[in-house]
Amino acid sequence: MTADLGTQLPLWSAIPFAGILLSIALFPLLAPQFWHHHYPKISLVWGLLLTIPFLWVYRGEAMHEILHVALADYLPFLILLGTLFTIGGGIYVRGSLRGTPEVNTAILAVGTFLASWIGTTGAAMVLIRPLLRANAHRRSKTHTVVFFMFLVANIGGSLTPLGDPPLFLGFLRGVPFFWTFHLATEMLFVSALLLASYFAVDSLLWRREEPQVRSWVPETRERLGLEGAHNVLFLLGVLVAVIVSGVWHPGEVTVLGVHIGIQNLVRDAVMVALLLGSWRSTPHAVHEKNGYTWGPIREVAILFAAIFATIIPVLAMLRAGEAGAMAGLIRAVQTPAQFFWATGVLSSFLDNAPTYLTFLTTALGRFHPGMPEREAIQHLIAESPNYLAAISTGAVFMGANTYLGNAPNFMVKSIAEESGVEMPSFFGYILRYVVPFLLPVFLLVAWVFF
Amino acid sequence: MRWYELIIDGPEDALEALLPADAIRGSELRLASESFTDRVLEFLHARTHHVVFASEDHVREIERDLRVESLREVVEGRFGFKAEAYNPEIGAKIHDALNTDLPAGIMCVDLEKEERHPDAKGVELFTPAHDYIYKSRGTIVGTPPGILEMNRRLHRLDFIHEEPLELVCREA
Repeated sequence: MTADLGTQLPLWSAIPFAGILLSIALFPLLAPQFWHHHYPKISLVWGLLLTIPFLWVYRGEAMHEILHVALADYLPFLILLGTLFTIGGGIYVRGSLRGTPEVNTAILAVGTFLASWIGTTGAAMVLIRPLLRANAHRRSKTHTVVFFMFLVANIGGSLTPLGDPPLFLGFLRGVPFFWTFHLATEMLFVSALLLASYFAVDSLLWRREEPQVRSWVPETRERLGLEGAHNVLFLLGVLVAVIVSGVWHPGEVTVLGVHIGIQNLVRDAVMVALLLGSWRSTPHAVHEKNGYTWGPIREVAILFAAIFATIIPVLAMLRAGEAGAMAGLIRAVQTPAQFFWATGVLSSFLDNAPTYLTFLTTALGRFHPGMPEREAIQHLIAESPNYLAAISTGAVFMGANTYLGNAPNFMVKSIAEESGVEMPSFFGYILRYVVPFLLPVFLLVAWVFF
Repeated sequence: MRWYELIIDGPEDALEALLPADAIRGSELRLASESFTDRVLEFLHARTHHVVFASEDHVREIERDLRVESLREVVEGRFGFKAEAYNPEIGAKIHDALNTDLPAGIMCVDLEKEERHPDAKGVELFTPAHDYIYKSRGTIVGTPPGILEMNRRLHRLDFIHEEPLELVCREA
């Protein structure tokens, strides 16, 4: 993408991007059934609102930008999420567990660790049902699902690009696979504090449960085990494919005028093969027990087509630095702590993947305006890694701040509600859980690390 | 039989030990005008004042064993409620609570319905919708102990939200 385009585009060209993000944020809260039925049309409208005038005015250049974002970002993103979701959906944890504070804390800790390797969505899907089963007999269980959302559906995903979509987008744009291990300190700090808080709260509530609840034992004792365990091998395959695509550079090919690394095509082909392999080799009953359908992949395919199309002018304006129409944002966000909060607060209410991309590009526009993106990212990592750490942790951690911040949040909420766990309202979630538990931890993170 | 609202001063343990079995604790109900401090103290089991409802048979006994700071006769009460659940079993539980074995003189449901959306079956990431929804709302009006019993019954259920119980009382 040339810096020129970024200096020419007007600020209002960001309206369709804001529109699709706000639609994703507001419709599920205000009109869930309407949104469930009509989101493809609404996404199409926002997408066309950008692409038609964009192509009309900038013609060849606009076409190149759209093809570039489709082939270099959108398709790999969709393939990774679809693959992890399908493989995760093929693993079912069976067994009888008793939802004591120790067992619950252990499930949360395991999920936090797993999230970085099978994605927050995959880890949430694999573990939410065993957690709900273990706590089915308890009266107090809402807090357990909320902390599961904090840790497994969000914070746990910060260690690798497989963990959370924002980090995979960073990887696609040139952040090395193993760079995210640098976030381990922040991740362990936040996870330890939250696990300790959870254990304290759950112990208190456990003591207040009726005696028959505390002495409850499952009627039939089923040994803990995995169905579809062979999918772990498919997961390893994904891991290898992604890592290899980051270190092996056999050259480029040109597809529809877009230069694409051969390693990326190989990675995506391997992942599609792993997806199909997992799907065909996993018994249907396992998918059914996890509630797996193609629905979520369809949602990601449709909504992210609109997001990736409409984000084009925003990224171009940001990359142009202070010469672009979004110079105000670049000037407003200066320090790593400001990047942490700005990325985090917006990730709380808008999807965190495009928010991450927006602030990564803001940092690049601020430090290296006009420089090719991959080169600029290497400079950013070498010279100001704290900025990338702030953006990454802000996007991943604060996706937990509301139901809107990260895709698995709504999934966990729905599964819990359908299993009979009453979840707090949108504002109840923030006031009763985020403000007392997450906010103090994030203030500490900003103070200690940024 | 007359029912009374008593404000009792004393520790939680004394209350646990000395209250008659059929007295209804204020903490079992959704009462109006509970402050945030009250709720924190309740959570920590550290309240010093407790609201209790008891029949006239038991009032004298309570007055003898505990320190009663105020005593009022409950004439009648009312509260609104709204329920929304996403699981047929929970929907049935709420339906039963609202329609089965109602205490004498209690009238309630204004609206009750079930919706099924088969296309919303399975998990969703960005377009969350439930394939089953139970909804009801209404106002419950009646005299004690029925109104207290209904409030306690609904307060024990999830997915149903009661408005604070408004009581009409007169000085005893």
